[in-house]
Amino acid sequence: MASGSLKNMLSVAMNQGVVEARARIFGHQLNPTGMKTPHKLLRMKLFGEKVAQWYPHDIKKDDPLVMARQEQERLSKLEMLKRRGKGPPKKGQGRRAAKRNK
Amino acid sequence: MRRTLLRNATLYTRNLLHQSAPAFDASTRPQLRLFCSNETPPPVPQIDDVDNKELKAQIESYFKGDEQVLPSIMETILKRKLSGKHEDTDDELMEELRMRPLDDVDDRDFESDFENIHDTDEEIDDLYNARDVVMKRMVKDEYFNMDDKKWDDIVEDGIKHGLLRDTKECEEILEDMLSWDKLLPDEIKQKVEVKFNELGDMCEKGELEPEEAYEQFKKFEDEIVAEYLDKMEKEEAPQFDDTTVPDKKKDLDDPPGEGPILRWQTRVVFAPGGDAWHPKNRKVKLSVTVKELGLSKYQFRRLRELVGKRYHPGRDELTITSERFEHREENRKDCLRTLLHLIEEAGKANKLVDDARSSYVKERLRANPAFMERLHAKSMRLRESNQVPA
Repeated sequence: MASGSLKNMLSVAMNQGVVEARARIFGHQLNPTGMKTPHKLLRMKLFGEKVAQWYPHDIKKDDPLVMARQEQERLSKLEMLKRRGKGPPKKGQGRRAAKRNK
Repeated sequence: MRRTLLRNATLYTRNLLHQSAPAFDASTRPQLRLFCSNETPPPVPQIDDVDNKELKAQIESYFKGDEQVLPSIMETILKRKLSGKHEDTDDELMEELRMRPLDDVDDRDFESDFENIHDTDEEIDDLYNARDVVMKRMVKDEYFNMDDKKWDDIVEDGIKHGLLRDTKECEEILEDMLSWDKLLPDEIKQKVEVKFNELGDMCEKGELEPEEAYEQFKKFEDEIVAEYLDKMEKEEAPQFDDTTVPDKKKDLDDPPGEGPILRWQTRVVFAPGGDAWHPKNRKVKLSVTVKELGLSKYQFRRLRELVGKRYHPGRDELTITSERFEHREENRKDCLRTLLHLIEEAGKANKLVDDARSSYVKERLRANPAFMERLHAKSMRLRESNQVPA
């Protein structure tokens, strides 16, 4: 009884503070209550640049003349569509707005 | 062979002409004197002349294989030289002979000379039995057909019987043999240099003849060699005993330093282009044998609790992996830092266990009424003794 009790006490004392020490050494995040924490998001590496480089760089965007000509073409096309009654609808009269009213 | 003989013959005839010319002059003068005393006209000696056709016929017969014609050819050449009437023709003939190669040459003379100079190996009569022949030779001569295995066996035997006690010393001996000119000690070198300079100066000043200086230097060298031999004899000769002696190689292959051995595992990806960075190169793995850390029982158990599955009990190996940073060296530092923190944290177990044990003992004593009674009485007695002087 006494030796068992002593051994138990010693083992408990030996393992005192092990969880906190492990977390500190290996950089873990302790969450004893199991609440939701943003640690998973904060732990992630910054990957915005990698996502942004999915599409290659378009060289036309560096030339203002080319961009101006494209904008002019877009405006001309829009004007022609409006003359033929095929332009974009006014606010509140589109398919989605009509669906919402129902 | 015959062509070279012909060339040498012509050279020899030229030498004979040069040597015999003064004799010829000396022989002609007394004849002239004799004839002058007699007052009769001297008869001119007639030398037989050989024409081109006869010489060509002799040479052709020699080329055809008749070796007996060679002396007569030499006599013919000598006669033509003495007559002096065929200078241009002989020059043309020599040019012609030099251009024509000789096909038939006997090698007996060369072979006999060669065999006398160089002793070749014994001829093996029965080549089908070469294996037995080689085995016999290996039985006779220990060093026949030496290879690496036999050499290693000889060296091992020498080490076992104590003849090669220190392989380091053997290596030093081999290095000395490689650079033998550095064997002499510096003292002897300086002595020889001083003596040499002294003798050189005396020769330059003219006080001493070169031959005499050389004799003196030779004597000095003999004295130096004798002195060195005496010095060598004074030193004790090494005693060889037949008992087995272990190898006493002094410098080992173990690297310098203390502490446990850290085994690192990294990956190096060779990619085309100058940039050597690759995501696979980032990860670093560090392995340590826990026994080498020198932990006590309680420290070891605490370490196991700390690291969890990173410890492999079968191999007694702790593995720490890190790929937290972008570069491998940073990850290596992180692994080492983690290892040091783990050792430090495990070291706290001893103190915790001691505190727990002492607190347990205190609790047990406090629960004992007899001990408490004796303690109380002792404290009361101490208080009374303190109050008496007041």
